[in-house]
Amino acid sequence: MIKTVDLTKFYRTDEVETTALNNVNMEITKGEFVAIMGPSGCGKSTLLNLIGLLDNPNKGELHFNDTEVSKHTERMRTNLRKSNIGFIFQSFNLIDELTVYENVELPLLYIKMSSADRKKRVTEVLDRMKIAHRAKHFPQQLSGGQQQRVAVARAVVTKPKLILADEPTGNLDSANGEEVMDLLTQLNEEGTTIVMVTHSPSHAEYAHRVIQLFDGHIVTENIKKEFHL
Amino acid sequence: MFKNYLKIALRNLMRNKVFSVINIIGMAIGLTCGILLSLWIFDEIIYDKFHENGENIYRILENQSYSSQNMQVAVTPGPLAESIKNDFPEIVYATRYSQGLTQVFKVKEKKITVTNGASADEDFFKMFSFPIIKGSQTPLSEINSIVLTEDTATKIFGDTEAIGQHVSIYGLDLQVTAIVKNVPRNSHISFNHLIPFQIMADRNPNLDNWGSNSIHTYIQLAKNTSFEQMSEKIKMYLKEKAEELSSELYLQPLTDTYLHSVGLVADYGGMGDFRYIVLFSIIVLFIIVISSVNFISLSTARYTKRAKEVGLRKVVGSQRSQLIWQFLGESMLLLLIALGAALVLVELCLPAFNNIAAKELSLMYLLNPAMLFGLIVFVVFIGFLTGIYPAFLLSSFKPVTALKGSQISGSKGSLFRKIMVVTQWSLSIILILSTLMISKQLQFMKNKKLGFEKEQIVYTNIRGFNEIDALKRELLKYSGVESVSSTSALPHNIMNSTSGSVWEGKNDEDTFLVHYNIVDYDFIETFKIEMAEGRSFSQELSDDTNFGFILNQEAIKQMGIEDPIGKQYSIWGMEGQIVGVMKDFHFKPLHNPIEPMLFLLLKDYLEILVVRIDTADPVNTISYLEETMAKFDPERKHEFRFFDERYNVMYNSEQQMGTILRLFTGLAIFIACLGLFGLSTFMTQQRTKEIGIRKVMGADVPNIVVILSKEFTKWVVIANLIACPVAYFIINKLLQNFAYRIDMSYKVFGITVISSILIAIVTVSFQTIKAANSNPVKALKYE
Repeated sequence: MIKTVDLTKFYRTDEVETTALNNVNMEITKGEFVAIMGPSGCGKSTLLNLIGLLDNPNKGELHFNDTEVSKHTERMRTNLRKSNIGFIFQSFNLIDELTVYENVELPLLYIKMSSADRKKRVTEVLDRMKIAHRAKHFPQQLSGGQQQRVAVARAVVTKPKLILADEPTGNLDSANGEEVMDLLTQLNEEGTTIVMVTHSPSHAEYAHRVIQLFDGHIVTENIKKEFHL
Repeated sequence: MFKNYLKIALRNLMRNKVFSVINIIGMAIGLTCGILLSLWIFDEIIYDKFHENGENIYRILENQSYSSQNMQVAVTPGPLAESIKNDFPEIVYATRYSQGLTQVFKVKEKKITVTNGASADEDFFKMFSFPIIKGSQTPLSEINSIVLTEDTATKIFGDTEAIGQHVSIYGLDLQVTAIVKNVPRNSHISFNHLIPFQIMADRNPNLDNWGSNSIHTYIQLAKNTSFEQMSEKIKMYLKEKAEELSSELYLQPLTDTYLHSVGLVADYGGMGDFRYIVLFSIIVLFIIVISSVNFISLSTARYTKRAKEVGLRKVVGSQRSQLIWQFLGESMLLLLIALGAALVLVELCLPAFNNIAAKELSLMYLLNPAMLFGLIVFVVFIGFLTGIYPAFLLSSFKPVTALKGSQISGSKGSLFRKIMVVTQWSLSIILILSTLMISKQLQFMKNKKLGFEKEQIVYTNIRGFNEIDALKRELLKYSGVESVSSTSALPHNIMNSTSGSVWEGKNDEDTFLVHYNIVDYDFIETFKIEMAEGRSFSQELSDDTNFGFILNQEAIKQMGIEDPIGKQYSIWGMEGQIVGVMKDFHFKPLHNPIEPMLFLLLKDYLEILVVRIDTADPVNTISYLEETMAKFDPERKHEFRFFDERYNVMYNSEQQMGTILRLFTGLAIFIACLGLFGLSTFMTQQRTKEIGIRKVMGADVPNIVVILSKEFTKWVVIANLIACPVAYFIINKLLQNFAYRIDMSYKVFGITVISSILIAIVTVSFQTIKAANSNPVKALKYE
């Protein structure tokens, strides 16, 4: 599903150039659950952002579903992203001015789904995430765990082929963290490809494969579980 | 999607009440000022636009050349109207016209003084749209007719039918032939009653004289007649009628009459001035710019608060264009809320504004298609202008950086914000300086020595009264009466002028225009006009009625006479000598330089009684005067009014302009302060962490206040450096309109600069002191 060839990303200011990713080569198969680990500043989030088409690499190739996308314009990346990729962030990133229902509904507005279909889809997802009873609440009225469930609901509401999770349990206690990991596992079992950045070795165990990054390079890849298409 | 945008816009407004209120109030005040001034401007520009034939109607004016000057004159000879209509087939109608007459009506046995009378020819009602409610459709066709407005008919006849009733004026029996609707307010032609012009012509032979300019002439051209060609044809018409007449005629469109007659000699009073339209339009522009700048500054300053939302929307699939529309929509929403508030404010302020501006403005003007269209276009334009920059800025965030939230420094757009604030304060300072200098000029005009004493003078109209000498003797018996005089015109706005002077030593090619006033023996003493040479009029010296003339210094200078006392002088066939030279005095508003003036002693045309009274007991003195008048003229009610109050009315429009200018300048400063307050709130929030660290390191409250205030103070100083030279240029231009003007005051500039900086410091101090006093622990926990 995803293939990178010599993927490179650096950040340049007037005086300093920092290489975040350096000639990264990797492949992620459809349906796989991959965890990316490494120390702070090793390029994990940068790699996730590039895979998620939130940014363009400086060098190398990125293939998404057999299409080379590294030179795509912002408009093209947005169009590709909105139908295919869901995001879960460490700090939830819910819009405070919208209710739980409205936050989850938001991606559906951008794929121009009809009002009736949107209602049906959002209700389904909220029920599944067991957060339907809070539909009319605002994010600041929810606990951390509840907020992350809403974020997961938003990420899956468009039925994306790929979910990217950037330290999804980073701001949660262990119980809530486990709950989120269980959700991700369920989604993966249903066929959604998941790429997750994590600091937690125990959470990395949920993945099929763990990729270790260091200073912008892949240093190891460990198979944790067998993966069958 | 629209519902989503609307929800989030409204909820954002509620969550950030302080900024929302500042933004809305600032914009609402700006829009209120803009709407009020626009209503004023609209009211001025619609003058005379209601006439159906208006685009083909013109007033004929004269261009007169003299040795020392050229003059544009609003009055023309009496014979012109009929003659020019007969000689040019393109002229379909023509009428003589004069207004502002005060006449004594005799109705049955009662005498009623009626003001604002006018006289015109039969074509008048064919040309102008003054609807006839009742009576003849050609109401001035008979010489013994009179037309009344509906209010005048009610005033004179009450509920009785007025058509067919008889009224006596000047000893003539006139019949009411028509009632017309009251003349609308926005008409330079204004009357309460109208009589055939021939009645005036029969009473005054001068009105049949080609050499005497004393009435207004209006013509209506046939449709599609070329204005330029007609102007060329009539230019030298007077010379064709009489070789000695060298003035040129030219046409003034009816719709230009009200606003474009500044500087015309012998014109109607109460006319407008196109320069005020320009001035107020500029003020509207300034205030809207100041409000809009507020809006843009505050919106862009708070962009970091929306960064996360922008990033998230881009992540879940929003294109940049969709975000731009979203934020533009939010700007429009805020603007519409501000507009709603503004309309309420306008409605509340209109009574007071109408009082200041002496108008009857109404929000109903906004229903005029042109005004409505203008308002819609304006709102959309301002909404777009104020919303587009924040929309572009906010939508430009990369999702990756945006979602990092607190790592965005808030410096994006900061240069733009500085430019906006400097612009805003520059405009405000220009407004303040202009207002202060104009106020000083008005004060100067009010206090300037006129060359005569206007205080303690009361007057009343005595047109048609014959026993002036006996009346004067009786009035002088009262201790509170210092002197009594009579005249044809009060000395504050003498418009009559003549070019018919002949003097000893005059060359044939010399042309000289002199203003004149008909007075009695006591006029000069009553007004305490000083003599430069010779003497005032004296009853003991028979020379004065045979004739003695008194001229002012400017007249003597322009005539080029040396040792004028005793020199021969004649006018209109009256020959005599110059017996005295008055020191120059201001007999016109101070916009005008002093011109030549002649005083004539004649028993006729003495229509105003003037009394100098003691200040000890004015109330009882005036009662005595009115009682005495009642004994001498029992059939008419005489009220005595103070001359200085009438004098001050001349500067009413300047006073109004000054008040309006002060009001709107104050509001502009308030809006600018609102903006600065909002920005200072935002920027102190941005620097919370820095403040916390500085306090931990040992900085005290004054130290932190200075650090925070420095930047704002710098912007205001820069604004002053830009504004002062621009204001200097503008003020110079404004003061050129006055013949007598103040000097540019550097003290005013200095005070304004210092005040603006102090205002800015005080405005931001609310937030800077609060921030400086905050607990550093809380500040450092912020991260």
